[in-house]
Amino acid sequence: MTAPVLEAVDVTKHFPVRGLVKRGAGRVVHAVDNVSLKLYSGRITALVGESGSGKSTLARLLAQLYPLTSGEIRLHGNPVQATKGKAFREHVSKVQLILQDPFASFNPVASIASTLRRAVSIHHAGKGGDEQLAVIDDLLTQTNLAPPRQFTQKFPHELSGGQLQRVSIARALAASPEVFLADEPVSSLDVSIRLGILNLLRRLTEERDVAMLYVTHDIASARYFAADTAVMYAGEIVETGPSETVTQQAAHPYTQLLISSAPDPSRTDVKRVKDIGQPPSLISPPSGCRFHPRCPFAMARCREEKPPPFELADGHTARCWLYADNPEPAASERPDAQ
Amino acid sequence: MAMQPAVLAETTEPIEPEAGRLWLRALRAPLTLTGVIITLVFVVLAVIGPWIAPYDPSAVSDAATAAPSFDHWLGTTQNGQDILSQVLYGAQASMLVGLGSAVITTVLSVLVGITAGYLGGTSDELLSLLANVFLVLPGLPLTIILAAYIPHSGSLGIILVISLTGWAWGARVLRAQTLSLRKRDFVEAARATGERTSKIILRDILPNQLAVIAAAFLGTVTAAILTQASLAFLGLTDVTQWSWGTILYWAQADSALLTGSWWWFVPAGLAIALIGTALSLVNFGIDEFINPRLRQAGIATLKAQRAQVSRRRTKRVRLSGDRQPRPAGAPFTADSTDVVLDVRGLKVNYGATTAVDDVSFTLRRGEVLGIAGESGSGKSTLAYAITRLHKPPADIPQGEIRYTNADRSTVDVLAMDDEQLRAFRWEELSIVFQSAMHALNPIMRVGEQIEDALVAHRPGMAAPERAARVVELLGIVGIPADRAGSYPHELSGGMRQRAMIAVGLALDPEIIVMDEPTTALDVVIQRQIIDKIMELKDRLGFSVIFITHDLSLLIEMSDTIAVMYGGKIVEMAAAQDFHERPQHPYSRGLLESFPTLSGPKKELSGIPGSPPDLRRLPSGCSFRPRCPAAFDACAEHEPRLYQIGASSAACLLYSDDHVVKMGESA
Repeated sequence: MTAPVLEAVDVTKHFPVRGLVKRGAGRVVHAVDNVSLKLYSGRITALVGESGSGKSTLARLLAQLYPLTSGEIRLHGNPVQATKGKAFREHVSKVQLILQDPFASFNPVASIASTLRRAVSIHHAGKGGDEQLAVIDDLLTQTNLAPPRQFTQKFPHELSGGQLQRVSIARALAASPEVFLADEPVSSLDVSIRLGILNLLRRLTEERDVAMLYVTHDIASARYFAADTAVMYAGEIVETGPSETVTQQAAHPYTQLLISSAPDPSRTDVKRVKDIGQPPSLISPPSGCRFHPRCPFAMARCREEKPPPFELADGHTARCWLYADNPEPAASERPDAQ
Repeated sequence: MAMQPAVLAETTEPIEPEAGRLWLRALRAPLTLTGVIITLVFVVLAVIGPWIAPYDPSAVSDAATAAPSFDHWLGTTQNGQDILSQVLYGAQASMLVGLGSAVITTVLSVLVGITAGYLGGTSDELLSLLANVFLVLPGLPLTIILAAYIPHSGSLGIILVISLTGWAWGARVLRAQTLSLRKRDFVEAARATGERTSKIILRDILPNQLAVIAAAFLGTVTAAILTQASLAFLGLTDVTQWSWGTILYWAQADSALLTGSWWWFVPAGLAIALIGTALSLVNFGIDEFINPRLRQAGIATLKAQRAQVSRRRTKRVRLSGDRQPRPAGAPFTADSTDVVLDVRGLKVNYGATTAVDDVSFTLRRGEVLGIAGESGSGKSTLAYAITRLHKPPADIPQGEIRYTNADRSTVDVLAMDDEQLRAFRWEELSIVFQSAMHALNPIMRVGEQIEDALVAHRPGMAAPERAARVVELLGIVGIPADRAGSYPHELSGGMRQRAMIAVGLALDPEIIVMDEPTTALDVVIQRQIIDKIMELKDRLGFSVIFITHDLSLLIEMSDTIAVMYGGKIVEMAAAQDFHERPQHPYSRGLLESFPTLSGPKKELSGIPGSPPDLRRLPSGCSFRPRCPAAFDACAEHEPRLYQIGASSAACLLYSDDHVVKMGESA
């Protein structure tokens, strides 16, 4: 495989906890801890996790919207450290973020034309008014909003969610980026129009040979849409691999829980992982493996030592002691991978 | 005049908003228009007052304390000065102070408020400190003292005094607004596009605060005019410079009230009251000028409210007396005829828009009826209508909702009066909404909120009994009893949703309507909650109407599924039948839109286009424009529900005509 376009290397982000009394007492939310992720051009990588797992924070770190606590973001192998000013604008011209809620991500008092014109005038500096209009028309056409003039004069509330999300994508396209970071791009849309947006994103990925990060809580959509899938839990990546492998031969007990919890009427077996737990506090995350308090297979070792990623097959890794060469003798039971 | 906005909205609604016409339209709101006209008149008078004044306001004449006459329209003072001229000259001073202070105050508060709010950090702390210091300065005494020190600086001094003591409050409000706007997605989106901070403030933050800024501006104008009048009345300004307050000062000094010279003080007082009222009227209308969404919504709501007034129900039926507990029933089976809720031909309108059209279904004891639909399909409106929680502009012009009581008598939910309705809701039927955070009161402990339902509906229940019931309910939904003392924000999303379900269960209702109860939750938590609901249903024997857009979830948990599209039920079938043999092309499309986890990857075809706008439904079948199987007749006939085996679907493919034709051509 070629070199990654955008890469997170051991990235950590801690947010300080603000409170009346304990402010400055050094308490932090461990939103993202030592996460590494690679994005390749022409390839969609899914980042799957529940709310609070840190998946959206990771996307924003890749977009450089927040400064890192530690670790590195590399674009074409070069470390970037640019959260403001010219360097930041340089970075976002290559890495564009698409947000989840299309209704919230537009200024409600600005027309579609004026929102797009702002993006165009940033990334196509030097173009005159008419040329800018032509670019806007072209962007809207590329995102299947035709005829463009039917949309430009409207205000955000006059468009449907699907149309707005297409405008969002058009806005991101204005920068001709090399990387798209799509943060739950279809979660707030109607079921019947999700597929259209996902197909549009896939087409853009292939046609423009860009790298795409698809952040989602819907692991089934990752199976269909992304070549690779990374599963996040409590600020850490617990499993990575080709999407089909991760969804069909899930190795990490958390991934298994996620899959068995997803509604799926086609599923024949009704046996489920029984779970009554909740995601842990990220202010004081559990020691060792962060999933151990909920894990049906937890061993003594899981409470003490953080598992490293174990390579299971080509490109398929899981951070779980069950896959260590010498798991504890107590671990006589191995979860059924199916 | 009153009907004009409604008529106008009807004809122009589908037309693109054009800035110029919108202003015109908003101006037609009669109150706003009145306010604008009065304000303009005063502004014009302030400018041309000195030229049109018939006399020099200070000129003394022989006509002392004369009542209004042809020579002196508003009469004269004790010294024979013309009051009309004084009021006209006074308009200038008053309006100058009003507008001048408002401009300076607004500029100061916008600068400080938005800078502090957007930049945050140290600059925020310094600027907030400054604003707080000014906020605690005692405004009125300071104004009086400062005014007394600079009595001869004229209007300028007063403007400065008012602005200095007034800007801090506006700055505080704008800072708070900026703080919340800064976190909004569209600001983050602008940042992610690479926009400069200055542009984000100017184009994203500021325009969204215009309503507040304008309201603060107008408020300051009024306040400044009043302050100026008060200061002048107290004699703290230059009493030889004419303003409305000075007129009142002289009227008071020369005992106009005692001598009954009403014409002396009434015009000035009236002028102050009028301008104040006019500015408030403009203030009310200002939101509609600025927010593009409200420009239309405001008019539509008005129209709908008007339509609502003409249609009030008068029919009253008494709800049967004491509630009898029902015997525990057998588990639900598909051929059950034990109907608890029978909805017939229900229609819900939002003004001229029909959101739910001719919907009929029955809910049987112990049944889980899943209602699936996308946004705008009318599914949530249906939930609100069943519980009669719909608010104007929503209105139910026709239909029947019959509930079967424990003694087998039936009542029409739509005919209940408020008292009966209160008893019916929660006792017989309860509701669990999507957003538990919003449905729970944030300042009440969870246990208290459950207890509240008991206090309201079981007045005879003793406190210890209630406490025991709360613990029992929490146990039922799987919340540890010690969490009863927690506030909603201290619970996780899943816990809050469980608490909502506990509130819904508090009075052992027969039916629970759940409107997307798990949509905001993660799949793992959703699974826990759904399992809990199903377990409770089997144990307690209630029926569930479960509304969601998540078809996979519905198929898993429902006995019967109703699919809504464009306000109508387009398919109704047993869940298993529906999954295996969806009949309506829309249902088929939906099932082919869901990625699956198990089994081989199948081709996902989805549905082209987007859900229809209820205000502009296509002719004939509303799914026609997106339907791969549409034919000519679909544009002309609205399909009714046709029976296909045990399922029914509203699609002309199953009409007798079509079936016969197909048979002939084959």
